[in-house]
Amino acid sequence: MAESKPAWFKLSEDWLATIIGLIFVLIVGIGVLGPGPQTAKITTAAGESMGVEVLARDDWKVTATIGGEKFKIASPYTTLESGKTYAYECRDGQITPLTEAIDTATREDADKAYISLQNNCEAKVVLTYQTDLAIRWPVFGLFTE
Amino acid sequence: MAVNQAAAKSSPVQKESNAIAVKWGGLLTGALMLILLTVLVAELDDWIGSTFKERDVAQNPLEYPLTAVVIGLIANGLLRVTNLYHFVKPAIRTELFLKVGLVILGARISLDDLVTTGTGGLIQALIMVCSVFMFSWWLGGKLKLNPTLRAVMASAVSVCGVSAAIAAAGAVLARKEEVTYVSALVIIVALPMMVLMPPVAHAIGLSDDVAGAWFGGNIDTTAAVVGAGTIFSDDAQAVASIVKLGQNVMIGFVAFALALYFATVIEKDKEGAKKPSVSMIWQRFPKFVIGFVLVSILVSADAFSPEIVKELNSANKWIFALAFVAIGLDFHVSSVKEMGWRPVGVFMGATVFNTTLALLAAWLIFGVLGF
Repeated sequence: MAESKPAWFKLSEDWLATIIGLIFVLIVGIGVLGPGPQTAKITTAAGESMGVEVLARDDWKVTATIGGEKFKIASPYTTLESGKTYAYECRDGQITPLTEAIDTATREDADKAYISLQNNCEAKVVLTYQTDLAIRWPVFGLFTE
Repeated sequence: MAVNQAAAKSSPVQKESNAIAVKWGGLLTGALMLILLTVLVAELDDWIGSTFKERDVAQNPLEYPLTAVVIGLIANGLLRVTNLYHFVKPAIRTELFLKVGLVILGARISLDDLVTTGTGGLIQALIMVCSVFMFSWWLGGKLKLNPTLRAVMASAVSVCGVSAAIAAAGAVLARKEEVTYVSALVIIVALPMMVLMPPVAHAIGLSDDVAGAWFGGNIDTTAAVVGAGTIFSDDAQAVASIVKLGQNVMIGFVAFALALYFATVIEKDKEGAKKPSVSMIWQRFPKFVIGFVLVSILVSADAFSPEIVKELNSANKWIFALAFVAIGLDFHVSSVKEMGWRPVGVFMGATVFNTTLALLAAWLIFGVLGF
């Protein structure tokens, strides 16, 4: 070691790690892999009406509960277009999507979609819209659970 | 005959190209193996967590760093038995994986927290590095270790393990064997400490901040510090990492001071001895800290949405899991067998001193003063 510069002494590893880390942060950060996992939740008490703006995407997963019990919505809206409102109604213990999405492109935030829920049931209703992780490798979500 | 002569002439070139092919083959095979082992760790962690949940234990007591290290150790043993260890060794880059993970960890730590914890961490680092270095140096002198081994060992115990040992070795022109000895000791001692210190911290009722600062100030390798912090809690992981980074920053100053001391005192009469340049402080500075701070600034300035930050945190766990698997793969005891008892005695004595002082400093700075 005294005579020559040792081959095993590599300072460049620090810069390499910095560059790899920053590239990773920038790729994920600027949304190259997607805008990240999205979650939108509408919680309505009996008789209440609520809405929420979400990103216009085609990979939404929809779940719902009525009075804390899971409820499977038949044919929920999973593909949302910008500037449109997607309405749901809870009546007689059933959540149903209204047949037509309403064009509301004049809304202030028209580049997003809008989900609304009219709760005419007698219990609290929760409607949840979720998307996958931006990094959609199947096992990537393991550590996030 | 002519054919044989041609073959003989081309053989060195062929040998070199064969060696390159084997190296790349080992690198790619090793990388694939590491990825598969990390996926196995994630699957196992998920399964272990679910099994505990089914038994009404909400928190998985076997955190993923432990699972990762155990998987790494098993793979280590299998690779050595099958003589494949040296083939895949080029892919086992524990320090690199860890540094990448630390850069991304910046996404979890706001600039405010970084300044507050970082200030406390730097104060603690200054106390720890000076005290532990002086104690180790003194103990090494008492047990008659040669000056270069004393310098390498004191730096490793007081600053940040293997990286500090390498930096100190460069500064005092130590022998490569001395660095290998000390590096092996650092890894052998850090691994049990990573596993044992979190339950001890729980048992004596330390808060997240104090426990994190204790791990960061005491455990020698950054990987094991992050591992112990992760086992304790997410907040402890953040504090432990910041405190350890504070110590990492000291490498340059320690290396410069050592080089100066050796040039002016130990080797003053030696022919060709050169005085070190101040630029050594920058040369030894852990550059990945810049990346860590930069990411923390970006996140604090709301450059990324909360969803993206969540995604970065998930990626960070994967990279740390990869690093923890690599810790298990890196583990080896053969170098220590050749050392004899005196260097081991100095190292253990310094570690006990380090553990006690770090607990006191962490309690005072992060518990009483509230950094």
